Amino acid sequence: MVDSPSEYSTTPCTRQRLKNGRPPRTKRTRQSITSRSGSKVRRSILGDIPENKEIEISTPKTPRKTPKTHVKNLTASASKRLDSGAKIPCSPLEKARANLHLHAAPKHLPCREVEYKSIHSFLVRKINDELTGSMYICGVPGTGKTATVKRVIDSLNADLLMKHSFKFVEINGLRLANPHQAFSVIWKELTGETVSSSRAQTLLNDHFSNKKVKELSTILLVDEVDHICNRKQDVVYNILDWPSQTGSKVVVITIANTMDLPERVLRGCVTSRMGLTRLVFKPYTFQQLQEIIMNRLIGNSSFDPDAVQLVARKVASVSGDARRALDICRRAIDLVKSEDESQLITINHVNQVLNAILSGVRVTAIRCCCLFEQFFLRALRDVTSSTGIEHSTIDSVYTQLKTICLLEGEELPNEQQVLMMAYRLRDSGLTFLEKKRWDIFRKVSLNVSPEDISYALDKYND
Amino acid sequence: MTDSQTKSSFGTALLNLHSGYTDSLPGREKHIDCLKSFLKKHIKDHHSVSMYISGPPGTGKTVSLHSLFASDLVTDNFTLVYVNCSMIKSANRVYAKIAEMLKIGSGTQRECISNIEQYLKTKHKSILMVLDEIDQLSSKNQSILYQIFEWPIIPQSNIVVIGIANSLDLTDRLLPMLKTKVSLQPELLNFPPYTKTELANIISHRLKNAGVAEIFPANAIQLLSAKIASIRGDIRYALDVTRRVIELADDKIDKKIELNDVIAVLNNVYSTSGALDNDDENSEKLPLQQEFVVCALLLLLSSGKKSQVITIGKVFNVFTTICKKRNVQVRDLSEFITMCSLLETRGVIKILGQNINRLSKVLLLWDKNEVDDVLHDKQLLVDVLNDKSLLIQ
Repeated sequence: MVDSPSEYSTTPCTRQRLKNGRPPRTKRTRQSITSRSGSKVRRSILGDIPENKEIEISTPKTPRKTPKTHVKNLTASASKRLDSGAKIPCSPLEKARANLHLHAAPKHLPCREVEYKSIHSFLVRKINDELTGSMYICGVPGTGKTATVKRVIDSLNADLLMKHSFKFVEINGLRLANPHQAFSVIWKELTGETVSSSRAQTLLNDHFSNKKVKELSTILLVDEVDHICNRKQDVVYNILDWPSQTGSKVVVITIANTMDLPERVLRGCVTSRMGLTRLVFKPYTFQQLQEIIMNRLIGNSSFDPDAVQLVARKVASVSGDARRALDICRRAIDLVKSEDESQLITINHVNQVLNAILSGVRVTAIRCCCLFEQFFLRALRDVTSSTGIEHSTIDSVYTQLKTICLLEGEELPNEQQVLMMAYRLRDSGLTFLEKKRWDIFRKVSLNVSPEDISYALDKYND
Repeated sequence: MTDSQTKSSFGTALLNLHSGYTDSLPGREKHIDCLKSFLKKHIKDHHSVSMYISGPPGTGKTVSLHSLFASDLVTDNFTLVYVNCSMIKSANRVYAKIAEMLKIGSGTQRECISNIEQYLKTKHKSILMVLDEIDQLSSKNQSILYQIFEWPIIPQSNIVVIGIANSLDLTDRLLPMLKTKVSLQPELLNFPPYTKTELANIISHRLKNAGVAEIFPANAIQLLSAKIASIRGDIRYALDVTRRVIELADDKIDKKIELNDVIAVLNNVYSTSGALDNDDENSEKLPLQQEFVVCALLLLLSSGKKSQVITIGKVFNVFTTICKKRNVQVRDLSEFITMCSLLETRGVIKILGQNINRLSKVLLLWDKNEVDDVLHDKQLLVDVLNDKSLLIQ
């Protein structure tokens, strides 16, 4: 009762004010005080309201301190605000940027037609003939594995004949807290009930081995399957055992990066159940990457074709990862955006981005070290190259450090300071230190190549 | 034959070739007879016994037992307890599962054990307890396995324990103490991998049952079963390949299965580098810089001593020299490590250790012939391997 909306207490207060002709501000505060202290007064005021409705309308309203509409319409205005906040891309560069975003993937993935067709025909056959099956899809990251499967499912959903003949359940190994949680997630997707994982396991086993119930086909997509392979591998075993049950109509599609996961990681009885239907997504070639980027830039002339080709070739020579290629393009746009709106993105911009990516964290890290840490790295590099052994002791580095300090004309730090330096460099990941040893003979080794050190420090001196 | 008829015949063939579909088990009659006589002997003298069935995956162990479960011999004389130990969350829960199957209540592990043992001591119908994938129950001191295999020693227990697993000598290896008592020693039954003729029999039998024996030529079946039997006599694989061949034939215009189709599917499956170039449609294989990495690794392997350890740092040094010689922009070490992990997902190399850094060891998993297949730039490989100056830092 005490927290009842203030609007009720304020309206009578205005009426009182009109009678007495007192200034509104003081009256209001006094009224609010009374309403808080004496509940009797308030109750009588609240009781008055329905009778005096008509008067209320005629009375002029006091301006409120805080508009109440703000509180009431929070959700509605929030969506309005979100709408108004999202800028519609207007300039060709912004349009290009929006199109190059990962979410803006086209309806039909270019260069993946063969894989699309094979997954599509596999699923259609299984659903039409009410069969079971399992398929293993592998390929390095950014080659469109999940995207292709999703497109197939979308097209099946769009097909009127197929639409109501299957259920689609998707789990991602990386989104599960532990492998066993997979069961409860699948059960929840199937039925909407939340149960514990062990209960879900029994329910699912019954569900998929029950021959009497006329059930729809189920397509189960298990993404990042290598992350649900625990030591016992019972989760993968269970999931892959469903298709081999008589009468079940489940199609399992497993996706992972590793090509030889079934042979290298999984146990024999799991591999045997996984079957031999496999599909390999090869990394994109530079022509394919070029096609993908150009496909997204149709009707947009903000990119120089040569720049696109450079991106495609650079990425294809290393990994063939489409995400990366799109990323570099977007960064190139970012680079231009601050300068000029209607500019063509050329090879120079792309080169700038590539250099920024390639210049390397390690070189930057070395350049950011303080002077004595750089000396320490130099000393360590000298010792390593002179002995030819990766591991050297802090003591020997200290000896070399003395020489360097003499050469550079700096005061020699004491041993304690050198040890602290070694810890700091270890923490930044530039060196390794031997574990469980705390004296001056602790072994130390480089985690950067000697050339990197020379490169970073030479440039610095220039 | 019209188009729709062919389609349906392919459909029935696929349905009949499903690994879960069984009506009879050709090639396993002897084993089933052996199991039957084993059970009959128990029915006759009510002597509690145990048995251990071994065999590689896909040799019909579970299916043979399931076919027995449905027979009158079991349904009339036994209370059936079947637990697949891969389907329970932890090994300890096996007791709760058994208690649930025997309908004697549930509770904590200790309560379940005492309940089960109490049940075994009282007068009851014979129990046939089958534990599938029993190797999952192994623990540090094998207490669960010992306990289960010692239940037959309880007087009037009237129980037949059958354990199933892949390894041939599981009882000898994990449960050596069972040998101390003759009555405890489990009888052993091994399911060998299917031979070529058995596989061919099963496939043709299933196709005949479906009434579509004519779609798959006999010589193709012979070839397929010979190939599978030579690698691993796993019926699941054989059926899977058969289904795959039929599916591919279904996509073709003339809908005929030829020997070439079988060979194509088999080649597609059984070759590591084959996964990379299953078709010669495009010559692209590994990205160029990854080829450099493999070349650098090969050079280090061919030049170094046998016992030499190859770390990422060393490969990186050679890699940078190759890159500089070929006028390729040199990558950062962290980029290089990313490339190495990409190669690792392809199964070309293996990087040892949890967190990968400059001192992690690198192993080449493929042999030289496979690498030769993958590297399409042979000239590069020759140049790199002959250029000893790359090794001098």
